[in-house]
Amino acid sequence: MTGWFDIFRAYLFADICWYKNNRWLLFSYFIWPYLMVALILGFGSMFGSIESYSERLGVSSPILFLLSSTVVAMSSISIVSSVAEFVIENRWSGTLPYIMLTPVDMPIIFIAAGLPDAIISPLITMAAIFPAALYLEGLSGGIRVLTILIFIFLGMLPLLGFSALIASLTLIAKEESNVGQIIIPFLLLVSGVYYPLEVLPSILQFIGRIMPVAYVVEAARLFSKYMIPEIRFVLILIYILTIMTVAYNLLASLTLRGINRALRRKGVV
Amino acid sequence: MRFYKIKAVVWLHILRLWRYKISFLNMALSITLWILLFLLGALMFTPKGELFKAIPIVFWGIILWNLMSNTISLISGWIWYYLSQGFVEEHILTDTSPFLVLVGRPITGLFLSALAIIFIYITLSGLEGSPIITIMDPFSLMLGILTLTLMSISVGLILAALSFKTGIQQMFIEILNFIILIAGGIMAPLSKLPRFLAYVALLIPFSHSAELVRYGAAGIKPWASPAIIAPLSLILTSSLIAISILIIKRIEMHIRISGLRAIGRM
Repeated sequence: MTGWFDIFRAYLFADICWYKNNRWLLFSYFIWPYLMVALILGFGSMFGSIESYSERLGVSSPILFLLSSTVVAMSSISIVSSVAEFVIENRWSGTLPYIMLTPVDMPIIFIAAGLPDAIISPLITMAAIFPAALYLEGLSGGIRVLTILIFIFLGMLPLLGFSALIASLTLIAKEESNVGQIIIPFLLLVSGVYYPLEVLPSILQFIGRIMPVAYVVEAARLFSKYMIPEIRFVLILIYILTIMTVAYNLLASLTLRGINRALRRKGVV
Repeated sequence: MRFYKIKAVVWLHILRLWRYKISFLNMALSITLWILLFLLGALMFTPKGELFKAIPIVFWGIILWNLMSNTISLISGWIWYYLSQGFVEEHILTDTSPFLVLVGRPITGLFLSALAIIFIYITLSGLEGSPIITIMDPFSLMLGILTLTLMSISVGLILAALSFKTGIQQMFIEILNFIILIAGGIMAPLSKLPRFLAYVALLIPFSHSAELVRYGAAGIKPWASPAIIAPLSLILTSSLIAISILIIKRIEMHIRISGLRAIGRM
């Protein structure tokens, strides 16, 4: 009987082959974080100074924060794309009905298929910024980005559920256009990746507070402020992400099961 | 070239635009959100109290980047779809140049830019609270926008033509757009760039058109007199158009002899 691990293994193999055959893409993962940070720094320097940024964000290492936030952003993009666009891509290639007819539960397929990207993408982007963290902040910078990586993995668990929810919506909507395209920047915008949430209107702040990415960014901010932050704050973030993992994945699982049953009854995908 | 072919190409792109209207709206909104994401981050660099003074300065930069990046990526990034659906061979068999079809892609790119610019204008006006568009010299402004658009179409066609032969990936196009944004004098006047980047920007043809636009819109003094930059932009635009025509002709001949090289998943 095919289980989640078989799907995970198959997609991991597919991803590895994909990266092996697209070295340019792999290389671009190493450049992107620096390009994004260069854009913010260049753009920001036109208006003011890095000191003002540091003061507004309340971080002592603004560059380290910008680099880690970029890794959080890139990992989120990768996860939401791989899960939420799973339906669209398979619908485009005509394989969606076959996937839905496999004996494995829909939530398991969706989440297990997105898992390899959820692991590989943060690892690659973190490897890309690691030398910069070491250069800028020494060994402490290296340790801090590795700690942030743990938070990224923690944040990816609820994000997988969130992405599966988006994927389930595309199943009902039967939409052929790539709706994930708009969800990704919106998710990053409300999560305050490069700025404090407080600058957003209150409705967007509220949406941001129920998104897991906001808490991973908060962890990045915390570790860019202190070498060893207060354990109380770290634990609060871990608790929130754990609750979100259960909530989002449960919700995604129930929604996907319901949609799966409805679609099988109708016989239309 | 028969007129009906041009009419058919224009019809094709307008029809696609209408059929993919949700995708079109989705893309325009997502461009707006991406720009806001970076803009909000960059605005955090301003000292408290001066937060939104900088918005009108960057508005024109955003317009220029939108025009440039959408045109380039919607021409050259469409090749994957065009190739994978087998449309290139179809057009060649009906004696229609695949590049004629690609020349129609700016219709989509310019419509997309226009919609994204409207969204960005609405959002930024909301933040700023006062009009953010000013026009000081309409001639320079129009000439700058026209030359930048023509240059973008030419670069898009050059990349598209090369990708028939070499397989240029979407990611490469995105990185190129990003590099031009940072180092190409699109977002900031050349006088505000660090000296090294200003020299690099001088070598990038888009920067001269961008200087003209900023002069025409906000009266920001360009790196040289507009009387020099205007003809320079026209010469650079003509050169890029000529290069794109030459490359297209060569690649078209190559395709007819050796066939296509598909570029795979992006």
